[in-house]
Amino acid sequence: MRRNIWMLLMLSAVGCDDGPAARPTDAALADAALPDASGGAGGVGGMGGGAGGVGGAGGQGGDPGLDAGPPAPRFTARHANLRFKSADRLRGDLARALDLPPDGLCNELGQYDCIEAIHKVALGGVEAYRANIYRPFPEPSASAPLIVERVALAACTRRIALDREDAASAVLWGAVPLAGARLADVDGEPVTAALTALYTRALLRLPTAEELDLLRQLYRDFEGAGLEGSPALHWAQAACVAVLTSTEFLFY
Amino acid sequence: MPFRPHRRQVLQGLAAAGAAALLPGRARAQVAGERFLIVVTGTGGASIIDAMLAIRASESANAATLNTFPDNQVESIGPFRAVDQRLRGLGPLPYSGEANQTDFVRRHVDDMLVVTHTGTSVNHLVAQKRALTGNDAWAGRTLQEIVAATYGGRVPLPNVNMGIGGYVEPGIDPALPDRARAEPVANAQIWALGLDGQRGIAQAPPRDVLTLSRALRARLDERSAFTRTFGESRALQRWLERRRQATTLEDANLIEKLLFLPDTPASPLASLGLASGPDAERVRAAFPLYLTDPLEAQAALAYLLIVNRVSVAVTLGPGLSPGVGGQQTVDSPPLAFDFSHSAHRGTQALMWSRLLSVSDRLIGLLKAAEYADGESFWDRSLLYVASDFGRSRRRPAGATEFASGHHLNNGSLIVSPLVRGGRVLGGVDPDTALTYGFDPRTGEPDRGRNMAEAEVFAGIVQALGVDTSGTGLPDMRTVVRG
Repeated sequence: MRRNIWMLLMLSAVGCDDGPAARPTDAALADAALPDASGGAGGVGGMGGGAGGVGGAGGQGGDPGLDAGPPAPRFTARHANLRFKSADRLRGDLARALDLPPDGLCNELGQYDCIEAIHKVALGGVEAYRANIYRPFPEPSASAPLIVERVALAACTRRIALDREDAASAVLWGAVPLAGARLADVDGEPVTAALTALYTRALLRLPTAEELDLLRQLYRDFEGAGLEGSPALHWAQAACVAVLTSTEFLFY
Repeated sequence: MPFRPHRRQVLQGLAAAGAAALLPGRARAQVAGERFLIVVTGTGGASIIDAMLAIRASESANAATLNTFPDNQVESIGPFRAVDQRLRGLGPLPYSGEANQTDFVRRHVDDMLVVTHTGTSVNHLVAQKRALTGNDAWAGRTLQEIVAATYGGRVPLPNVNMGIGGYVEPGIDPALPDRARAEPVANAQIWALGLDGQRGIAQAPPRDVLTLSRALRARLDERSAFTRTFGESRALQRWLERRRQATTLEDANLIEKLLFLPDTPASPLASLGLASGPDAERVRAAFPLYLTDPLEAQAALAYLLIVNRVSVAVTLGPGLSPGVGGQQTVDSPPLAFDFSHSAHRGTQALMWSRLLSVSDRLIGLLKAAEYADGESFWDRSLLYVASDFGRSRRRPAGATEFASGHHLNNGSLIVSPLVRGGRVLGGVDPDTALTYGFDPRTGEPDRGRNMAEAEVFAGIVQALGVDTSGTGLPDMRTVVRG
């Protein structure tokens, strides 16, 4: 147990680093994720990220199945003083999670930095020089949920494209054959590794078994939906956006 | 003072929330019709004595040392003054051009009302906010928030604010419905792109992909230990509520209705699967400098927000950045009206000219757009030129260009068919260049009185048909068109 906790602390720390070299290896992740009798690595996954010190990677040990309804809370925080990340922090965290330059995350009309130039104030940022706004708005704007999706979608699409161009230096999707219309095996190891990397980089914790199941089911839904284009590619975009716009990613 | 809504206010709110159909007929008849508020900000201090209350030199005993104009520059149109000037520089800045006020005044004299007042702060940010809250006259709500709360229940973004500084600061009433709070807009040209989670993104997947992604996210969120632990967070709950509501912005196709850029290599809409809305060409023609002048882009968006029934309160105004290289080396000074610290006369002339010109074109468009049954959008609108404060009155003897500081004393321009127009409420003493007030019931000038921010605020709210009973606001019936 102590070894697992130590390993996850290490993972949380490297998750704050920008460089691809700092990414945890699959072996390390697999090792850290090994549950022990008390519920595995749960309870420490949130260091420095959004997980807030609960849950972590412990889902393998105890969450009910998909059809069992919402699981009971482990505890409800008495002081749930969450904050929206707001523009600058969000921009930095997205860039870090996807290993993209901040100004390469999203550009409206291919030119204007989505967050920095256009939507900064709407996302709770300040704009002292141009707009004389020294204090952030008390809450994100009405359009903020759409802006967040928009930025995440553009950034995820960019990451996928880069990973497909150069699988050797891929950050997330290198081992997943997205080039074909369909995935050969959505239950296979490359998919697990990609999703694990996504969670580790974005949320600084491992995905639970249930989360992996839900993400795999999404792919099957795409295959069944008969959407135009490649189900594999769409699935990667959708999975990435879902995680990067989850409340766990957006709040701290 | 705590605010307790009266019956009529409750009824207005219910109607705004789309519940009018549930009310009995008589109650429904009591609900005032939809109104639109346009706030144009005189950022930096738009001085009323450099425009509608300009003083001729021959009228003042202290003409040489006060901010007065040569007689032949000041034109009288109805009760208003207007000053046209040919500018050859803005102090140290190169600028050349005509500054025009007469065109606007001639065209809108019957809808114009000038209300004098004396503010309570010469700090820009504080004064700007007080120009909108009447110095917290109604529980700290801004004018835009009041209009949004009263009339904005059926529109997707009731209160859109393109202003800066104190003009974009939210009010402080915690009881204000969340929907009435301002949606800030930093870049009017392309802000509308943020009203869709997917369209216009290069290589975006089909809409259904995002829909499925959202459904998955909802399940992930619902079941995550994070949400289960911190689900009581108000911030989290508000976010989830906003996320649910946000899709209505997509459903209304606001991204295209509010987009007015043409499809060009610089804005490749078609290649991104986008097109601008049906009114785009009209607003581009009315505001042809939309690419280089943020104020023109704001006016274009303001029009689209109103006629597409997206908003009932819109705020626009010049920012602090200079306009450079659009038409000439300097198109607009830095700091907007506040460049008067360096060059009062030229700055006031140019900035007033810019505000009046943009307002004139916006009003013209609204007059030409039918609201319903032969009534135009302008018939239901009120345009308020809000200013931080006035400017100091003195100048070196005979100087034609000089510097000015901040001054509490000023007056505001209101333009609307909803006010008793063609009047100046109060006046200006030509020997001091200070404005004086009026009787708020009769409108009779009163040299012994200065009007407070709250009185101007109340007059605007009442002209917009908002019931102010129980709020403690003064009765400003002289403002309202009977």
